[in-house]
Amino acid sequence: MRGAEPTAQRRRESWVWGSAAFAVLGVAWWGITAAGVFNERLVPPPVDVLRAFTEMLASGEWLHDLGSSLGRYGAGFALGNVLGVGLGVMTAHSRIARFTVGAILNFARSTPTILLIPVAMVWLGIGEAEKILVVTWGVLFPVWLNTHMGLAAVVKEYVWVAQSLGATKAQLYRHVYLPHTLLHIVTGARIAVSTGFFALAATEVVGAFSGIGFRAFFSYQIFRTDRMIVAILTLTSVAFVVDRLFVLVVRRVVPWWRHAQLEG
Amino acid sequence: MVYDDGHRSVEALRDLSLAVARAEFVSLVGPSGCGKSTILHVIAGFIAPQSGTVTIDGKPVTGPGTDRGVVFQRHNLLPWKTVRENIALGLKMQNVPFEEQTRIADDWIARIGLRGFEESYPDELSEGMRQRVGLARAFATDPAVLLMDEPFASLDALTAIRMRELLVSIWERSAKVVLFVTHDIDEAILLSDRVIVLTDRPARVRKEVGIDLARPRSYERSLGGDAETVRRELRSLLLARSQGAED
Repeated sequence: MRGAEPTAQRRRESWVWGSAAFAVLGVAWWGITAAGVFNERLVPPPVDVLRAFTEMLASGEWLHDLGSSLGRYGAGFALGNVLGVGLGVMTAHSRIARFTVGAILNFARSTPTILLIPVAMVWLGIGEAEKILVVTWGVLFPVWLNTHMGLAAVVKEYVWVAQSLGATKAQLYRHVYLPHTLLHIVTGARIAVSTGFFALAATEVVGAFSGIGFRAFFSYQIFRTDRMIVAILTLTSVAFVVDRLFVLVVRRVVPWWRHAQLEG
Repeated sequence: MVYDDGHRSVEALRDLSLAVARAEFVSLVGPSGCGKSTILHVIAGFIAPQSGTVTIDGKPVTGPGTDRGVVFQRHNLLPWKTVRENIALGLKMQNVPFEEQTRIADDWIARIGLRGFEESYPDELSEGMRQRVGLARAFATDPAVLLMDEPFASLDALTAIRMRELLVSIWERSAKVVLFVTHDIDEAILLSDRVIVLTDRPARVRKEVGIDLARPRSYERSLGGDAETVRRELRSLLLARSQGAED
């Protein structure tokens, strides 16, 4: 159905309700702290968190942390996508690769990323390379799996038609496999947006001296709950914005998005 | 002919031999599931037979090739390409210069009556329009043989009549061999020079019936008079399938 696009009214409605839900959440937070149920150092009121945020902004810490985190994230995300797509093509189109590399990847993808951090630090040293590779690990698997599935699900008639029209192997990839799989890759990459942020936060909690994850954990050590909350909300908001941007960009670069979605 | 569908070996065809002359329009009719499509897929080179051969102008078929165009019932068009890009696809793959691609594609768009839809995506077209684009694309690269697998079966009756007229008008000027799979007797009579009736799987030729009706044929004329005799013969051949399975 073409009516998949939300109408302007729908969109306005969703905004109103969404904002209302957040407002209620904020008021509840304020109400609980104002009632004096909890110690303010444990559960700081919204105003304190806001004050901590402006302090961190003024001192430059916040921007510096954000820069460090986004740098690591960007590099790890890019690397994870390139590797994921490459491996997906391999395991989907080579039987040997599917039985060997595919089997290893399937085994490895169940490893909780956080458990790899100690060993990554030992092998790679504490530093940027280690953090970037941990993010890469977090991004790799959803991208690989979706690329593989997408390629495996190509409608055979499309391939046949292209072959009958004289497509070479390269043309077949460019005109059939790639466009068909792009949406699957994008879906994988979008899941990887969040799994990458999980990995980033984990890797910044230990053995880091800057970054949003580091800030959250450091604030714990100096017992500044307000700053911990700033860090958490920062990372969550960044992840949210990246996801939204992602959708916008995809709509731009995949003009047949709406059309291709209709094909099973 | 025996082929392997990935899970088991299937004997789809047995002792089926078929010779087709230049510019001949041949229809294959038979009970559903008898292997009509399989024959087409083998000739197209999509399925490699475990036994048996297909030759075109004396050269054996080893895989898909540009000398054989295909039109399926569904999934002919790439959903990520516009009407013009879909029609020009084969030309592009055969490295025809871009201006030439556009000229030929636009020429075909005019012939199939889709001016104004050059930039539309397949999803924005009706089923009938999509099949017209599929026809145009198959003809645009000028293959010697056209393989059509029930191309009009999912269209409404009126659109299907128009599509058959379009197909015949293009074919008559092209001197191409057309192999047309259908389960519709009337369609076969209207289009074909020769109709090959197949038995149940494994498909064998039950009978070949020449259609000596004058062209141009129209729906009204083909369905009365001389056509009635042919029609009755084809129908009884098709209905005789239960005895056919035992012999």
